[in-house]
Amino acid sequence: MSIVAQDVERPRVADSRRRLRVLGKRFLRRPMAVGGLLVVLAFVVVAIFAPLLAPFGVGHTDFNAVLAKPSSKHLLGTDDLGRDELSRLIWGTRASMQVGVLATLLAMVVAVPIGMLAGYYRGWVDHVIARLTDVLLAFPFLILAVGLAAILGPSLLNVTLALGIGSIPGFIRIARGETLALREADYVPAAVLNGANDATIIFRHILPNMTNTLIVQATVTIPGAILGEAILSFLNLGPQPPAVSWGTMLQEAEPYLTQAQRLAVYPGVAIILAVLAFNVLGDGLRDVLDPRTTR
Amino acid sequence: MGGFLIRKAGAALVVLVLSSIVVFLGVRAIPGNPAIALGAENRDPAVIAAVKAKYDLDKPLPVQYGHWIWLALQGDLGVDQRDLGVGRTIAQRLPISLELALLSMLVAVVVGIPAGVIAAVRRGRPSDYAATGVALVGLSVPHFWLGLMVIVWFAVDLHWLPAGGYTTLHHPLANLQHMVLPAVVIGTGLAAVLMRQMRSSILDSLGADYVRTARAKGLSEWSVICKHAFRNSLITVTTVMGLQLGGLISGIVTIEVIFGIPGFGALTIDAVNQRDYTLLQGVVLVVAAGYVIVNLLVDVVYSFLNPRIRAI
Amino acid sequence: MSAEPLLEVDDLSVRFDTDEGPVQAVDRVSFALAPGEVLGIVGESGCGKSVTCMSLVRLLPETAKVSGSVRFGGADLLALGPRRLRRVRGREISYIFQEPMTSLNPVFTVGDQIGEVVRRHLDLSRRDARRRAVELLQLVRIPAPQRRVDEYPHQLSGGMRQRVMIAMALACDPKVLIADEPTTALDVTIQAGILDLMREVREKLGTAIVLVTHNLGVVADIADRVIVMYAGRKVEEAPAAELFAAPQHPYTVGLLGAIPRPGERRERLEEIPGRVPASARPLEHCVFADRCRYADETTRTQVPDLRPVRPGHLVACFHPEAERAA
Repeated sequence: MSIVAQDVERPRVADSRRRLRVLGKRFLRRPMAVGGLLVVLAFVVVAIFAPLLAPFGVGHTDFNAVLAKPSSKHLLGTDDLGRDELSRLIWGTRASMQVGVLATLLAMVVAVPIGMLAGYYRGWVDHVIARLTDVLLAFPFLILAVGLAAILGPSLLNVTLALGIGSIPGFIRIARGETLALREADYVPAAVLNGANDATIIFRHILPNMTNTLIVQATVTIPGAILGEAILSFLNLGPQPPAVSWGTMLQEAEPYLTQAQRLAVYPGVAIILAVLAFNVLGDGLRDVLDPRTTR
Repeated sequence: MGGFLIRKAGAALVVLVLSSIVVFLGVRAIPGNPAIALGAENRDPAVIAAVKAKYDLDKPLPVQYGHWIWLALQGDLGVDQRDLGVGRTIAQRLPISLELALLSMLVAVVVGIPAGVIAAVRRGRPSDYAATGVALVGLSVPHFWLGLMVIVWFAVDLHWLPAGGYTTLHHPLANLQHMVLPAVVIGTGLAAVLMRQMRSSILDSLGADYVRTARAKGLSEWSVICKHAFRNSLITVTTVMGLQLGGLISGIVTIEVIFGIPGFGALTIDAVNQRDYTLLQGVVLVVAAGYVIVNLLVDVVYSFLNPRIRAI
Repeated sequence: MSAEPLLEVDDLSVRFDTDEGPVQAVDRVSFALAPGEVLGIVGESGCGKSVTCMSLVRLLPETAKVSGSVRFGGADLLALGPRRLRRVRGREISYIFQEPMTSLNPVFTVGDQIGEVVRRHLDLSRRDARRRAVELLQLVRIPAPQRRVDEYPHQLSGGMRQRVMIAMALACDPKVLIADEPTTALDVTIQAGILDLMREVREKLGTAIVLVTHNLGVVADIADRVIVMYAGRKVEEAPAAELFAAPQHPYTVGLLGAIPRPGERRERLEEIPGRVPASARPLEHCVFADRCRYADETTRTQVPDLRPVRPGHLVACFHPEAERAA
């Protein structure tokens, strides 16, 4: 390889800022993706400002209005215990978004360094990590999450942990694959010639270059975790009352399906909307960020 | 091909052994005293001691594990809380879930593959947007929510089909009536994934040089797409189907619970809820083994579809 | 040249509408091909030579807007219905592409892919198609054809794959063989073999060949007549021997300067300064003006038309070599 070390420098700040602007423009040209982003942001805002937005507190019950139809006092009606559905939906948004984001962050924080080690050092490190990942992958995501939730006990935090751990293998694979590809890139030998050590190469050269892929993977993992929370809660392995999430709302709505279908419709629609928004956003980001899919 | 598959099989075996250890330790990590749970909550020390002896719980962990695996290899997974053979229970429940899985896959393949091919061929036209949009929504709807809604619409409101339950295959029509809704619900989500994968894969193939060659040979568009592009796309799609197995299993677990189908998924959840240690341990071991084996089968199919792998 | 051309291209233009605006890839190109003739089309990459060839039987993607006419066997190929067009493709006019690695389908055997052509056009049975495939492999000098016929493309070397492509192209005894950079992706030693094979094909089967290449050495080797393209336009056309002896367009002169000739001692290869301009809107000057050392006021304000400098020798230049020397 005939690379002159000085020739290959890391992209400068001005370059990366211009790149960002180009990416931004490409993103804005996709109305679907922009729509997805707006919906995601809306959910995030609702989650953050839940205490301000919710008309009633988490555990507030009104026994004079049990299974009430939508009215001016309870815009979406009430459930079997007379709890305001709109408030529950808003509090539930907070819980569900929290699970989605935190589980994904957890998976990323654990998995990315492991995957990078495997991809960077290869050899036996890679083999051991690959086998261990395979073991995690030997359990279907839901069975793993159910098992972990059973071990950890039912609570929002534990659901987050279970789903986060369940998402680790995916991130390990991606981080490993990206590292394998990136360490072959021209700037790595160049950096080595410049006297960079492994840590510098991993953190300054490889990690920044895989952020795009990681972001795309995150937009897939977050909705997966939101769905996972709903399933675990529905199976009674989620947060316990008075805590609310979209999944617990569905679980509590099941016995009243024939009398008050709306109790299941609200959280269901919220889940679909959130997952759909993340999926659309993820598709858009993939198109914009991943050079392999741009035509 | 032999080398490739032997390597894959070897790796699968290692994974199986490791995951059996994980299952064994995982079940023991569930809070609560297994002896009390297995002894039907009887706290009499004499009973507990008897239970411990019966289930090997008085021996050190490695001995317990060795004993369990040794018997498991001979097909004996021990007895559960109710003194029923775990192996027998699984053997009864598993076929029900397999039937559901096959029917769901059938729905997914019949809907998803043609839809993906059509969308790719008609790229950028209304039919493409429609199919892509429906798939995107299908991808975002949780199985179990769709299941609940479908029960309300088709079973409770319209009385078209039973709301749940199960009839054995001895009564094929009744069996099918019970299976249709669950299979369609699970199949929808899978079809969405399959459609999207098929579409992007066919699009990739249609841009490939060999497709240009096929056109230059004067082949009809039909054989260009259905022979040359499709065969190549099938390779990626098989891999994706393998990866979707997890989604299929999660669909089966929740849908069985909702529709009251006494299959393997419902059994798993029962075992968790009842803290039935031997049952849970056996069930999860079977899931892991099945999952690893099916993934191995996917590799086999993959290598048959892809001559480049076959040659290795 | 024979009176009745086999293939007659008239005013062929191809435009692509891209995100960055329309690109005129081919601009009013006309030429004719006589039976059994070898016509070379040369130019740098991006000059529109491949696009020209692909548009003959409409192999370009839908984004390409093609106009003009391509007369072949009494019909205009550009106006033909898809069914009739497919009867021409692979049977009357067939193709060899640049990348033998990717142009063969990886999941079907060589025999399958060759046999497919004859089964489609000549209605042969599966067994006869296979027999024909073996025969064709023999024709293109692939050793052990009985065995090779059942192999997959990845089991063959690059040169062998290109031979398979040629076998496939010859399967129905086509009248025209279009070879788009058939040797570019191959090693030099293998290139010679492929060229020999094509020469043999022309002599034995009388197939007319359109040979697209950026390599003038290849053209000098086997072409009867040569078209030089630049930025989507035909800038010079002449019988091969004459083109090499007395090139007229400064661009052709530059290209010839860029091929190393054996026995000639030179410090370095001559390069033509500048790059092929990205073709976009209608021109108001000679396409080559920016890179031409003889460019003047006329060159920069008018577009030169193709005109004969000698019978059969056309050039689009205000200052061809012959006139400047005078």
